[in-house]
Amino acid sequence: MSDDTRPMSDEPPAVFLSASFPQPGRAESFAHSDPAALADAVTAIARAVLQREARLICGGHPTITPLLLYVASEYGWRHQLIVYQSERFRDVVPDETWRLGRDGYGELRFTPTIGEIGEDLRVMRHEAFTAADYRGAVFIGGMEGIIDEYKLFSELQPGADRFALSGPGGAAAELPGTVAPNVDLASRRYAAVALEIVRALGL
Amino acid sequence: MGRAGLARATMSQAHVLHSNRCAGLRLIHLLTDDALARVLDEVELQAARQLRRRREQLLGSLSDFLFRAGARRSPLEGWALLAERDGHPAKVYLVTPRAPSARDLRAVDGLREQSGIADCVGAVVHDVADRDAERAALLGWIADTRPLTVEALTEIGEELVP
Repeated sequence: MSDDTRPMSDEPPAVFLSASFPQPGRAESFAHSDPAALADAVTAIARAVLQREARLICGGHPTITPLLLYVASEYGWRHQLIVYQSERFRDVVPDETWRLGRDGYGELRFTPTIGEIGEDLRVMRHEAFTAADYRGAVFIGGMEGIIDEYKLFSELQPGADRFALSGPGGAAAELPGTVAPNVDLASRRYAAVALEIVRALGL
Repeated sequence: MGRAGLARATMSQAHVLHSNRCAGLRLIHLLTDDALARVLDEVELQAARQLRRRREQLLGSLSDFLFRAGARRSPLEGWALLAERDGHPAKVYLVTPRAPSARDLRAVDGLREQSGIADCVGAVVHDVADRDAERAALLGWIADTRPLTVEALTEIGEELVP
């Protein structure tokens, strides 16, 4: 849990968001997922974190970034989103992701490509997870990638809290989450869960 | 369902009136009237489902906040509930998935009056950023002489949950 011993920093606090929509045909081995619930949860977490003037950092998933852009632009929250993307995917980055930087809502950071896709993703995640002294991370939906991110985040940010929401399903539903008083990770009332999480993170 | 949970309607060649390939562009299919009607029906259905979901999310989260604040909650018709807390006036909350409107204020005012509780107040609850200053001024003018408010869900959570 967050406490008062955390070192002071001039930078706004940071939260990592690891989320994706499980793809039909590839998601059978994970908990049944509800895409609409997943979108609700991502939107609620983004609103809560950005409203507290914290930074929200994530990988550039093509179906999640548009949701984040929608939230940031709806409220006019600028320069709080940071999206990491491997150079490998530069040519297929959707317009919404480019708009984040172009319209001043966030920053798109590319990481080098060094070999196989797995290695490139690991480089991207490593850079993202060491870019800030994170308060915590929130995991929503997803498949194998979210499990990889959970493991690496735990390794590189051992002092940060990890909240894996089980309500929307997917791989995150099977991950252990931080045990925090008042945070019901199984709840499907995502605005309430998001408020509990940002409070638990001390935002 | 397709990627990201978006609905998909499968079309066959029978639904295509004709196809054109413009220079350098993708193949464009012109749908028959029946096929187009099917697509529009699906869009309408999905929009209705999403609105319902948003209302359920709003009402559910609001109910959680009120529960945490020790309020007794009773469901009312039309996506609303009555909350009663010791030391506070009874309050009717009406949720809306869109930017709050004068019609919402009128509806919550009616529910407040129907409750029959003296000093009962009303609130329209939303979770959208409304930047329409003219509309905000209109709502403020309506609420000014009535026991009504327009409140963002997150602000209610901040206020109610210790």
